[in-house]
Amino acid sequence: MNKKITISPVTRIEGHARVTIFLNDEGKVDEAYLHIDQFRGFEKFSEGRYFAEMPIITPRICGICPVSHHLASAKATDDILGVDIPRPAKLLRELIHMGQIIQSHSMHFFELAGPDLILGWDADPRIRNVAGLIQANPELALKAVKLRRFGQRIIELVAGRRIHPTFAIPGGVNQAFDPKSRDEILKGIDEMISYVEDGISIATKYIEDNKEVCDKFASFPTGYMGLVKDDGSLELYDGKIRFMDKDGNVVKDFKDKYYLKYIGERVEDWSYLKFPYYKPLGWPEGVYRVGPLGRLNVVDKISTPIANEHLKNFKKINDGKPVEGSLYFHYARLIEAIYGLERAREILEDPECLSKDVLISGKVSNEEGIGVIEAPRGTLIHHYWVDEKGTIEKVNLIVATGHNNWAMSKSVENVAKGFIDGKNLTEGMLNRVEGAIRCYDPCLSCSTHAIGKMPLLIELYDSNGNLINFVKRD
Amino acid sequence: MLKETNKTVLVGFGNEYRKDDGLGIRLLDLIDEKISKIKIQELSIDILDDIKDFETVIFVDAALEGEDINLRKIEKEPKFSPLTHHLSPEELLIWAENINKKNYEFYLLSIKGYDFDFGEEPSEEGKKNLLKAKDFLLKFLKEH
Repeated sequence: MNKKITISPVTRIEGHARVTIFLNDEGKVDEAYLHIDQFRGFEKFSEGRYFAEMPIITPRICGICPVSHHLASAKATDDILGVDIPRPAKLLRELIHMGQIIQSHSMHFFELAGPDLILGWDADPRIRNVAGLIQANPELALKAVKLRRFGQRIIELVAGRRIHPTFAIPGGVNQAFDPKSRDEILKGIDEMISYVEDGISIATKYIEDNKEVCDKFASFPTGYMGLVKDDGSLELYDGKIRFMDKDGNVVKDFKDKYYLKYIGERVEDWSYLKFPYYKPLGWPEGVYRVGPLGRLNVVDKISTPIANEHLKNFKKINDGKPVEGSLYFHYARLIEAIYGLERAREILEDPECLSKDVLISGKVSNEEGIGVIEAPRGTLIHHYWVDEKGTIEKVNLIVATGHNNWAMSKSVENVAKGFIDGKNLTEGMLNRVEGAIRCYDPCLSCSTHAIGKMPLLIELYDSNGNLINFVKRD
Repeated sequence: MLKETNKTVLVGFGNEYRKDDGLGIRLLDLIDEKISKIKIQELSIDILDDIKDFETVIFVDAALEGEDINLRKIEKEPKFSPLTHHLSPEELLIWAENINKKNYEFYLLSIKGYDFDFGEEPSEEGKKNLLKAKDFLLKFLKEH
């Protein structure tokens, strides 16, 4: 009889994940699954609302990347009006998006990935955390805080508030930008780039010292997906969706409005979250990854100089072929943070960012609206169906964590097989399994977080199904 | 009359679109006294700047389990957040004292919730606990 290790939630409130690892009689891993018990209730909750409310409602899906939902939603409402918003409004929307990318990517690296990479996977869990990081490198911790503040400050200065902005509205944005705010942001960009460069030095040193681990850790072939500009360069706010196969061939560039033609969603009975795949290749050949690793794999170049130089190094990791190791997500994330800072500067130096031409009016013209954006964690799709008065009849949301669902489960299995010894289970082994999920920066517990919610409970069962050990993660 | 309220800040967090998950935020709306309040959805290091001029921080959040209301003093305790950006008050205290270079008193007032489904109205039981929490908090602020 197989042994079973379960990393499970205590309730099924949205935001919980559970990892189940099956051991064979020799104590080796046979199979592993990541179960995400996430309900898609927000789609139902939105039905009957007026479409213009959606950019305000949907950011409540996530307390960490509300700006991404805000903007994807606003784009979908533009589509319902059938308008092409003024360029200054696009610039300002993109600017707060860059603020979001900077703060989210930076904090993920320093706060979540940092303890593993800097203090070690097997370090005592009592010090393998932010407190240990502060103690080990207080300057680095301070830089992490400053980067987070800087990204949030951009959002606050442009959108008026950093939490749940109401800035983007159907047809544009509700306020113009002022020169003082522009100057304040511009003044800080070089310093922030230097902080991210410090992070890149840590990441590349780790890769250099642990090349074999990086190449094997949760490494497997998949397709990749992300937005690109017409010239194939990195795009986070707009653009066309590019799908690349596991061998690095660009299979298709398509407009976001055709996503249903190319993206299918498979249902598995062991997870509430669906498994998106590239329809023309079918299941499971069409599984793919999104987010920083997916994006840097699909792009040909980056339009900003410093990030593009880093991209060239990234592309060398697998001689121009797709980079498969999930630990490389962390490196890719920092390169995108540099892009976010450089792109913010480009926008701020564009005189049109101060224009007052930020809104175009319109009326409900289309029965459907689709908004696609590259959120920090990957491609985010908002699709609304409305009646003639603009009342929401149906909503379809595909979030980044959904696109990466199959890959996260595969990563858990890959790492479990490589590191778990059921006869001699250590905390460090389980930390590596969690680390595989961490690479994807999933959005699992954003929507609720009441006291008592337990993101992870790791349980070890013997061959007779008796619980013999467990580890809790608060 | 509240004492030293200029040194105390209330931080309510939660999601008002998930029924009782928003109890922490809703409590702040019931407190009419002149006291600083911060409403957020997630607890993160973003509030380090917001609390830098205060000495006492009272976090208010919904709870899945336990008593109807409960107040406890927060001690520094690193809790590794394996998958999310959400910080515990215990972790935040470590960040706050290190980054803001001062000592704080952190408290966590938890309000038991019953229904965390989608919706803007708290449950009836949650509303009752909300009123209990209001009375308790006002008394605590006066005596503290």
